[in-house]
Amino acid sequence: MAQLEIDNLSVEFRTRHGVVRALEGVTLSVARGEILGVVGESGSGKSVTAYTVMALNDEAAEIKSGRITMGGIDLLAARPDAMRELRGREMAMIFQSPRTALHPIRKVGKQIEDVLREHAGLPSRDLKRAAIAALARVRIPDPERRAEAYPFELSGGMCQRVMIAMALACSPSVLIADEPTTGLDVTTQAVIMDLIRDMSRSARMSTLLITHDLGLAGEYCDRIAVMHAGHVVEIAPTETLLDHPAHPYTRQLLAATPVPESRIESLNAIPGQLPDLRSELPPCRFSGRCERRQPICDEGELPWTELSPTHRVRCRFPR
Amino acid sequence: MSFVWKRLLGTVPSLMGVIVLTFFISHALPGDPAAFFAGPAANAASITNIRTTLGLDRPLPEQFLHYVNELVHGNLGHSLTTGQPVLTDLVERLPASLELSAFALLFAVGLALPLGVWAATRVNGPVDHACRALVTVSAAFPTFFVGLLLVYIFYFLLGWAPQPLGRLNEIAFSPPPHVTGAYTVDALIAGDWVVFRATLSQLVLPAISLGLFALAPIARITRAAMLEALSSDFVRTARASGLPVGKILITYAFRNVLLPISSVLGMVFSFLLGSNVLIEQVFGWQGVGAYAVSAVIASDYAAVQGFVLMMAMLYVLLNLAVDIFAAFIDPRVRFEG
Amino acid sequence: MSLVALARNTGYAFGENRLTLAAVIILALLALCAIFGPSVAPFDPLTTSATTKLAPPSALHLFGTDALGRDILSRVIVAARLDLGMAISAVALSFVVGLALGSLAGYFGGWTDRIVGRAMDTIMAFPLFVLAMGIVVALGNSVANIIIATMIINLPFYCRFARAEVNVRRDLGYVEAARMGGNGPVRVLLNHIIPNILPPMMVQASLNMGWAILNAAGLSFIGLGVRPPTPEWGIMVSEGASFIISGEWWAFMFPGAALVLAVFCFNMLGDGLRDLLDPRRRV
Repeated sequence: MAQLEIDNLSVEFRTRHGVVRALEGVTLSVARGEILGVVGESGSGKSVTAYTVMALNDEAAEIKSGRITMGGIDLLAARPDAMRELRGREMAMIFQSPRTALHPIRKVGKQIEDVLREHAGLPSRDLKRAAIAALARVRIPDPERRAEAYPFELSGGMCQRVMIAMALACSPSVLIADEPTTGLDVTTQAVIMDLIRDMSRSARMSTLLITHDLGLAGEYCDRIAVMHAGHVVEIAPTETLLDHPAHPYTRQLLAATPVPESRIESLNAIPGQLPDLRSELPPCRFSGRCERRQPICDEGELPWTELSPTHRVRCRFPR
Repeated sequence: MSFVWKRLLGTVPSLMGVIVLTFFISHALPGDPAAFFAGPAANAASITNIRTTLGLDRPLPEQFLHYVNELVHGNLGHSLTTGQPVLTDLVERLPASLELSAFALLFAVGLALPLGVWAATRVNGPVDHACRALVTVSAAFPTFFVGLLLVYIFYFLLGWAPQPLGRLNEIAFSPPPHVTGAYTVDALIAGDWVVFRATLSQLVLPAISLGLFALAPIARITRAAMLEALSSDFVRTARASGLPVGKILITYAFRNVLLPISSVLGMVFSFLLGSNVLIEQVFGWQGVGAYAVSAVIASDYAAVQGFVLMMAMLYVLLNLAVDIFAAFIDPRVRFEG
Repeated sequence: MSLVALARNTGYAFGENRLTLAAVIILALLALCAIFGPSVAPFDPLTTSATTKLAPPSALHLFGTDALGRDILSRVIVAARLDLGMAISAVALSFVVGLALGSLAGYFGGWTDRIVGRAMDTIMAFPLFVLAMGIVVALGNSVANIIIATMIINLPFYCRFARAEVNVRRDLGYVEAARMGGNGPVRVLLNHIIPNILPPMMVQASLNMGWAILNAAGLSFIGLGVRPPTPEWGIMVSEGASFIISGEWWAFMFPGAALVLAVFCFNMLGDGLRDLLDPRRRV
């Protein structure tokens, strides 16, 4: 049963330079205990999707259509204060650059206590102990001492653990991780991702992992959704996607991911650039860069093709 | 605590610099210092007399040591106009100036902080525009002009303010018994509500005039720092954690604004201590500023020098206090020492 | 930035910001008053008249007359020369000396930097207006000494700015190249570094002008520097102050308004220049 369901979501931003059609017809779902990877280039709309779920978007954002439900609750219809109550308690988010994402001059223990105080309904005297317990759960050594530290005294990996501790402190049912390991060194990346996967499984959370790193997604995710220019272009279980990519963009992404054996001269770049989301856009936003493009691609609404019950592509000529 | 000691020691070079510069100004510049110290009514004989008495015919380094020695013993010379030791004059009048500056600062900070915060939370709203307009306009008004303008409007035209006679209308009231020297505080200590209100009403206009110029930099930096904090990564995390709006504004955003504000306070204090002189002149305030002005007009050299020295020492101490405050609110400052 | 681009940008900046344009126009008018003051003024600023003492504004005397019967409009116009002149001289001197000291300190580092830094720190250890008072009293009560005192208290401002800018540029590619080319340090500074830091320093100078005007006016308000009957805005406000409580507002109001206008326009000019030359610093 899907814990988080996003159905046909379209979001626009009003800016000084025009209307940016950031998301169009985005459909995703994440089941309990499942990790869904959302992969794509910068500007593909991954973060906007996450922010829309969490109702963290800028004021300039306008939701044009769609539905988001979490555990049956209609998130888009919820009032702002209802959303605020859900955030941190039922749904949590962690970000990249963990050190700047924490309050620079507040002890990390206190920051966790802030979340607990708001959502956990604990008496004041238990807050400190609960915060230390949260730190212990993310396997931070010597949590009592670490709770008294400031973010600038901790390493990047340690700060990310603190953020995870904060996010999971109230045992949410949905976790969104927006590029949680970007900027961390490779060893720490692996450690953090292992931690996220373990916590995700043990708490049976629905986890949305946003990343531009297809390799990372391949390693840790159960299913992967590929996004391009505000569209979800393909969703499939990880193995299926990596072995039998159907959308031309997915194929090119895979081909572009360097492998240790590849040589510099033979790196495959994806031709063209992301289309300008302010301009008039064709139904398939990849058509400008696509090798399989046909005249029919520019007509009518772009349909979903179901290659199997678990594998969907948004393309007229998959495979 | 070691941080405090380090900072304290750090003020020593500044204090030394102040002493050296004041000495240089009074003893080493062109012009005959003996003539200055002797006063406008002196003749050749008394000037020579003063020169020997003050040791002004000795070599400069010897004079400097003598000068420092005198300072250490609290001897700032004698005032020509009052006949008293300069130190006594200054100490007598300092509380009046400090009280005025304190209220001016209270006004400036009390208005600038909420204004800056409000402007930042409603960007391009009416409060934001008002804030920016106020900041721009108040930075253009000379302090003494503001004082006079306020007197004209609120005393002469509207009759709301009392006559600008100084700290207290001495005809109707008598000052409270001396404890700190600040009339408001002393009146409260003595439980004298009538005098307290009278003193306060005399303080309103001068404090506002003095504080208005200080309002601009504080409001501007509060707004800018608040805007930056509100769009920061850690505030986004706080929102994502569902923390209440008040907590985000104050504990998360505003706490980070205190450091930039304290860095602006140095400039604000420099201005307050300097413009005190002008406001005391406008409102007939019996503080060190007015004392300095009459000393300047009477060429009462020792008094002016004493005033400059005292204000500089005060400023160094105030800057030290701000430094310590900054370390208190921001542990990163403590770390870097 | 090429001249054409600069002209185009200037037009753009001013078009965007009508206020800056208005400020420039008003400053130009004030400059005209400063230069042509005595010829433009309707009356002789020094002529007293016992019969028209403290006359309110009228068709004849647009700004009224003061306690000695002198026409205030004429005095305000003529005073522009002294007020603007004092400020510009002081700022120009601070600019040049500060630029020189700061450049040397920023380029050579070491003892030069330490000595200059100490000197500037010592000046900054004083509340600046108080220091100016002390300097004027020590040097003697004259307009020249007001300028010197204002120059000294403004010095750290330019010195520190120049030092920081030179420090940043000292090890950049083009400077390195100039050094390689056999240029001595002074030549490198004069021909390569300083021309590049002049624009941001000009911005600082225009932002500083307003403050210099206020300082000089403050000193003359308390009786330093300018002596009666010389018309100067600060001293005119001081002369007019005693009449407020009897309601004769024009004596202090008009010279005060002139001060506000001049300072405001210089501040606007400074903001406009900063937006033009370095929009990143906008706050």
